[in-house]
Amino acid sequence: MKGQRLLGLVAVVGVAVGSFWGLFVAPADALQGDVQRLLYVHVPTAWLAMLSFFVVFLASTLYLVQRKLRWDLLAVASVEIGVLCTALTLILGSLWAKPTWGIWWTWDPRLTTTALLLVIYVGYLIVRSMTDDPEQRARWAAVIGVIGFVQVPIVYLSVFWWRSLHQPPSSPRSMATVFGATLLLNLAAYTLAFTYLLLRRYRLARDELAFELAGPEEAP
Amino acid sequence: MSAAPFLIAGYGITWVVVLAYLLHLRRRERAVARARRAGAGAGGPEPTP
Repeated sequence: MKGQRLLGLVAVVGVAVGSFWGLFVAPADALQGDVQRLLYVHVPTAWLAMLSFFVVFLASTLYLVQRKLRWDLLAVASVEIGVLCTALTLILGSLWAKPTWGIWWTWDPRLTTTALLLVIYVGYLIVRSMTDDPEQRARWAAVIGVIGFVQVPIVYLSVFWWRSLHQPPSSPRSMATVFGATLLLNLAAYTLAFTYLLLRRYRLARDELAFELAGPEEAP
Repeated sequence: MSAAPFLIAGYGITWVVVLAYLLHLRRRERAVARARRAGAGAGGPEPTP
């Protein structure tokens, strides 16, 4: 618990420093100007969305193999964060699109596949709410968690497969050092924040399940 | 077109969403703790969706 709090504190400081660096210290892009600073939050949220759904895929696979509810708890914890990050990615992308492309939204392959990704995992959460049986809920969710993950590489590769307005994936290696280092700092900080949120949400899911299965008297 | 409104909106929305999620988690954690203390199934927290 103490370690978790420390992780949360480090994550908050990391994201604050990363945001400050991205907004005020890193130079503006020669072509796009200051609006390019959205990169330092848009790319980390997109990365976390994909990481979250990869965790869901792994946890769902492990649940289907081992039938242990702890994997289902990890999956639902990760899905919630993934859905938030996907929604943020779309919002941030839209905010970046308006000044650079001149539009808030277009049915571009990258944007459309990302929107579909959001729909799939919102559907995952809706399906979970359709049954009170923890085993059945876990089984249904795990199947969607495995099949739904197919959409993640499609999102990533969409800019290569189809003619897209969206640029190819950005990474610290694909840009000048000063931009890459700032992006790397933000990626690390947001990954720490993800780890903190995941641990906290997992603990909550575990407590709620214990309460649900055993009743309040026997819950640990 | 000035970049400031887009940067404020982008960074602001991100921070607000993360903060709102943290508050949501805290509210649910407290609901579980309260239900345990109450010692009754009725009125307990909603099961994990």
